[in-house]
Amino acid sequence: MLWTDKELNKDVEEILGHKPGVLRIRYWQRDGKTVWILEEPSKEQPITTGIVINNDRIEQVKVLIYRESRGMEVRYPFFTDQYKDAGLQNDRQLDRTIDGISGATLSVRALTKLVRLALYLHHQIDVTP
Amino acid sequence: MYLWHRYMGLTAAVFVVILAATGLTLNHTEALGLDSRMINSSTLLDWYGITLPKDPVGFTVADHWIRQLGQQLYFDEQEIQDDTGRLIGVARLDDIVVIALQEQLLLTTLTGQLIECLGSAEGVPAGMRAIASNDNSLLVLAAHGTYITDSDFMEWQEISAPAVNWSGPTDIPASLYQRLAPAYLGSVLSTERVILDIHSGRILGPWGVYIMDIAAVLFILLAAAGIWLWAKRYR
Repeated sequence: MLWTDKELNKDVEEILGHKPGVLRIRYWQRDGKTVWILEEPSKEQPITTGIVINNDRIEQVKVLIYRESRGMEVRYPFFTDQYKDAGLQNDRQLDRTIDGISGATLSVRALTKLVRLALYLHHQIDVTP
Repeated sequence: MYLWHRYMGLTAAVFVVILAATGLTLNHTEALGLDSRMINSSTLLDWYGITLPKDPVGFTVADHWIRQLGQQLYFDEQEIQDDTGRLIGVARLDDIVVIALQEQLLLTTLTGQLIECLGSAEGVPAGMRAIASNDNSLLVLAAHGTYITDSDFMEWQEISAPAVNWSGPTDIPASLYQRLAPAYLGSVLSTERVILDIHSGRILGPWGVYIMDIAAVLFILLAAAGIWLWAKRYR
């Protein structure tokens, strides 16, 4: 589990646009990979997302629970596959552009924030190969 | 027709102003923060029928109160979460307070700071009915059985139902309940909701909606009359 501190909170706030709101974030780790289950509100409801990171790159993004009535196109592989192999730049932005979906702007934005956050958090822990 | 057009225009003017003003404001809901600006006016709260819930649920742990008013959850007098499911129970594991909602566990420090929110994605059993702490383990009575986990909440194991004291609610003292009233009442109705209801006419109930419908028909007739008059003059 990763306990948050002042500096981490500041960086997380920069990525998400708000404070993390929790004192610790859990993750799973094996063979150099980490798995994060994170949530971020789309319009009003949170999107629960599972993110697998391997070698500092995104291996898989999966929307686990989608609660909004609109924008659920982001659940499908045609969208989430865009994040495969994405990495994080020094400015904590993704190293690629993600194509949006008309009518799902907020969901796309939420998912992208979560992917950035997962990559950032992955860098904060000692990943054992 | 000129006269009709004039009278329709005068009548419609009021609605045009209301719709334009509310519409303009709603177009910038996020920038103006309308969904997070809450209404405190007792007149408006009464109009919407918003009152203190009559059956608040409360649990005590380590000299603290965990209370639920409506969908707001309070740790003593501090709101820790809104839009929550039903509060089921509270337990203590070492220095962690475990608050069980219908489909979620909230872990807080002894001063109410949120540590983590755990749901089905983290293995929390579905359909929780009661919780209890036992020798630094958490027991959960759920829809499909009884489960046990340790203070890390990493693994859940089904067990046969043990004899434990499941967490039960306590009557909240009236004085504590009243102290929460301003915080609760000022967190239910957003400015966005009120403006949306004015825009649609719903603020006056179903009749308000019909009035706005009539106004919309009036606008169409006004436009049609105006075009007819213009076409007539143009010829």
